[in-house]
Amino acid sequence: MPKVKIAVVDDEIEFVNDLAKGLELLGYEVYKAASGSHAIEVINRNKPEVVLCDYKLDDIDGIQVVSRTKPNNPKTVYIMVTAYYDESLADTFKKAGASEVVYKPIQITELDNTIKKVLDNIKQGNPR
Amino acid sequence: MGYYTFVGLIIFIVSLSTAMFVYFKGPRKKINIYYSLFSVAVAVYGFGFYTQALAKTPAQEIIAIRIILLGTIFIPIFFLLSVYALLDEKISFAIICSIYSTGIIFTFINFFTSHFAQNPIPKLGFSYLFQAGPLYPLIAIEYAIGLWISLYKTFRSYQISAGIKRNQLKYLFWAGLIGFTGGSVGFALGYNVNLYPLNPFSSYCVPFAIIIIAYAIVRHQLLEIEVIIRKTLVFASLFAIVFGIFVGITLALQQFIVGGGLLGLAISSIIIIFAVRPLEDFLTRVTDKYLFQRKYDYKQILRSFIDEVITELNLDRIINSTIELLDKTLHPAATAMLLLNKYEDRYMSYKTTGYGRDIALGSSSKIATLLKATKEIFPVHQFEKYVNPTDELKREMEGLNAELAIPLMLHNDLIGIMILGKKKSDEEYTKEDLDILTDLARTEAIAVGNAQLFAEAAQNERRAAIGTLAAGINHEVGNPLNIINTKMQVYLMSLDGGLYKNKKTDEIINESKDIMNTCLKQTARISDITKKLSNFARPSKEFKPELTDIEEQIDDTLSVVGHELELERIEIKKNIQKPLSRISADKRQIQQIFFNIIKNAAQAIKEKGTIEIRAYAGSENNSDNIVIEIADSGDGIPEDKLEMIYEPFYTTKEAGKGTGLGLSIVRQLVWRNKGDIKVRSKVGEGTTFVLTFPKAA
Repeated sequence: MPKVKIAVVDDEIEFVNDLAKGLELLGYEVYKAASGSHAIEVINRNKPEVVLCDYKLDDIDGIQVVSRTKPNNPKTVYIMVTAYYDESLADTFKKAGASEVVYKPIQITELDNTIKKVLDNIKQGNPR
Repeated sequence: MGYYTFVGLIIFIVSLSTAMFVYFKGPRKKINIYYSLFSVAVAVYGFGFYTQALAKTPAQEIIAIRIILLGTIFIPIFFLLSVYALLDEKISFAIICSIYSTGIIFTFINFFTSHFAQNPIPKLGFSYLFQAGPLYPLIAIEYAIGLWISLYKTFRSYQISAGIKRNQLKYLFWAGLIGFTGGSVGFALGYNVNLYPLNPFSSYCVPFAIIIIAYAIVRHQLLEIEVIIRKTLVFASLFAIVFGIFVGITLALQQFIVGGGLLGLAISSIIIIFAVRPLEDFLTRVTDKYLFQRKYDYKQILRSFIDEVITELNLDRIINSTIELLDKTLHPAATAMLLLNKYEDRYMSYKTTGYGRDIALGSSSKIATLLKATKEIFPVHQFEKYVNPTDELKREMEGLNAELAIPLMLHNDLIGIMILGKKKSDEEYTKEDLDILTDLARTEAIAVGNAQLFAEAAQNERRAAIGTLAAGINHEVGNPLNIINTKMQVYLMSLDGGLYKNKKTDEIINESKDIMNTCLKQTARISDITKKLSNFARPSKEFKPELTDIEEQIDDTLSVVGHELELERIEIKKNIQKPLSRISADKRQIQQIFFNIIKNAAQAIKEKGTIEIRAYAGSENNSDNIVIEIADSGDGIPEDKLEMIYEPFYTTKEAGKGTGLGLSIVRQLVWRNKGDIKVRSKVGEGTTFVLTFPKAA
C-alpha cells in the first residue's frame, strides 16, 4: 500500500520541519512548503492527497492556496490550520473548499485521526 | 419747619410701604397682619406730622394733631399685639378687651373732645401748634405702658430662646427701644418744649426701627452687613426719587389749587405705588453693578461657564467645576449633585459640599416626583405656590437643608438633581439667579448626559481594543507555543518509535540541545510579545515623554494589530526614511495614536486594500518636524464631513463597528505630545492622516 502524500504549508519553518518529522513517523510521505507560492508549486507538482495549510502566510493566505490549486487537483482534500478560534473564519474556510479546520497548537495524534477520517469520507464518496 | 415736613413724609412713606410689604409676604400670618397694622398706625402718625408742619390755621392744626394722636394711640396697641403674635403667646380675653377698649375710648376722646389737644397757638416755629389738654398724659402713659410691656416680654423671651427666634427678638428689642424712644421726644411738644435738635431728628429713628423690625419678622435669618448697606442704598435712592416726584407734584399743585397739597399727595401716591417695584429693581441692578462689581460679575461668569462645560466630557471635571463655581458665585451654605443610579433607582450624591455625608433621594421621593412633573427649579420659600404642598415634601427639603432643588432634565428624563442650600449671606435667590440656574441646569444636564455616554462608549472602545489585543495574543503567543508543542510531541514520538535506540550519545545530546534551544527561542518570543502587549494595554493616565523611535513604535503597534488586519486581507506597506530622528513623546500614547488610526483605516477598507505608513523628516513649513502619514485605500471621507471626524461620537461606521470615540482621543493624545494631526481625503480614493511631531532636541 503506497504511502499517503501530505503537503504541510506554514511560514514557520521550524513547525513545518517538526510536523513533517512527526507525520513521517506515522507513515506519511510529507512535502514541505514555507510560503503560499511555494505551496502552490509543491501541490501542483506532487499531487498530495492531503494539504495541511496554515491560514496566515507571509505572501498569500491559505484560502488563496486552496482556490488556486483545487481546480488542478480535484481529488486533494484540504485541512486548514489556524491559531484563531473564530467560527465565521472556519465557515469561510469551508466555503473556500477546506474539509476540516484544526487549531494550533496541533496534537499530532489527533491530526492523524482527522486525516484518516477525511480520507475515509473521500473513499465513501462523501468529500465532507 | 421743612424738617418736620420731611420727617413726616419719610415716616409716612416708609411705614406704609413696610405695611404693604410685610402684609403681602404673609397675608395669612398673624404676626404679619399685626405688624402691618402697626406700620399703618405709624404711617398715620407720620402723615399727621406732615400735615401739622403745613398747618396754617388753628383748625388745620387741630386736624393734624388729631391725626398724629390717632396714630400714637394705636402704635403701642398693635406693637404689643405683634409681640404677642411673634412670641406665639395666647392673650387672655381680659387683656384683649382692655387693649381694644383703650383704643376705642381714646379715639373717641381724641376726635370728639379737646381733652387731649387744644387751643393751637403759634409757637416753637410752627404757624400753629396745639397745647396739651388735661388728658394728654394718658396717651403718654398708654404709650409708655404698651412699649414697656412689649419690650419686657421681648427681652425675657430673647433670654430663653435660641437660633433664629433669638435673632428676631434681638432685632425687635433694640429696634423697638430706639424707635419708641425716638418717637417719644415728640410728646414734649405738647408742653411747649422743643428738644431741639433731638426733635425732629430723633423721629428718623422711627422709620429706621420699622424697617429693621419688618426685616426681622419677614426673614428667617439675618443679613450680612454688605447686604444691609446695599438695601439701604437702594432704599435711599428710591426714597430720593419718590420724594422728588412727590414734592414736585405737591408744590406744583399747591401753586394753583387750594388744598393742592392733599391732592398732590393722592396723585403722587398713585404714581409711586405703580412705579416703586420697577424702580427698586432698577436701583438694585445699578447698585449691584457699580458698587458690588464682584456680585454682578458672577452672572457673566456663570454664562461663560455654560459655554465651557458643554464641551467637557469628563464627568468628574464637569461636576467639580460646577460645584466650585456655584460655591464661588452664589455662596450656598451647602450644595449637592445627585445623579440617577439606574440600578438602585435612586438619586445618589456624586459630590456634596457643606453636608459632610452622602445623601440620596429615592426616585419616587416627593422632591423627585415634583421635579419630574414641573421640570422647573423648586425654591422652598415658594411653597405656597404649589397646589398640594405636602408636609413630606417640606420635610424632605428641610432634611437636606435645601433652599433650591434644581432638576437636570435630559430628553424628559430626570437624570439628576442639584440641591442648593441657603446662601451664606442669607440673601434670597433672586429671579435672576433662578433664570441663570435654569440655563445652567439645562446645560449641565446635557454635559452630564454626554459625559455618561462618553464613559460608556469609552468602556465599549476599551472592550473592542481588548478584542484586537486578544487576536494579537492568539497569533503571537499561539505560534511559538505551537512550535514548542510540536517539537516536544515529535521528540516523544521518536523516542517511542525507537528512533534514538541506535544513535550515539553525542548525536542524541546534540539533537536534544537543538530542541531545547528552539524552545528557549520560542519562549523568548512569547515573553517579548507579552511585554509589548502589556505595555500597550496599560492605561496611559500619566504623561511620560521620552526619546521615542517612530519606526519602533510603528512595528510594536503592527505586532499587535497587524495580524488582525491581515485576516481582513489588508496589505500593510511600510516606507520609513532611515535614519530618522527620534521625537520626545510618551511611547504608549504614540502607540495608541497609531493603533487607533490604523484600526480606523482598516475599517474604511471594505474588501481588499492597502494601508501605507510613511515616515520622514521635515514638513513643508518646518524642517524640524517628523512627519508620519498613514494612508488607506478605503472609501474616503466626504469633504463636508471632514470637519466632524474629531468630534466625539461622530462615526460613519455601521452600528456596532465603532463608537466614534477613536479620533477625538487620538487628537487629544497628539496634542498632548506637542504634535499636530491633519487629514486629507477623497471619496473613492482613500484617506491619509498626517501626523507631525517636533524632533527631539
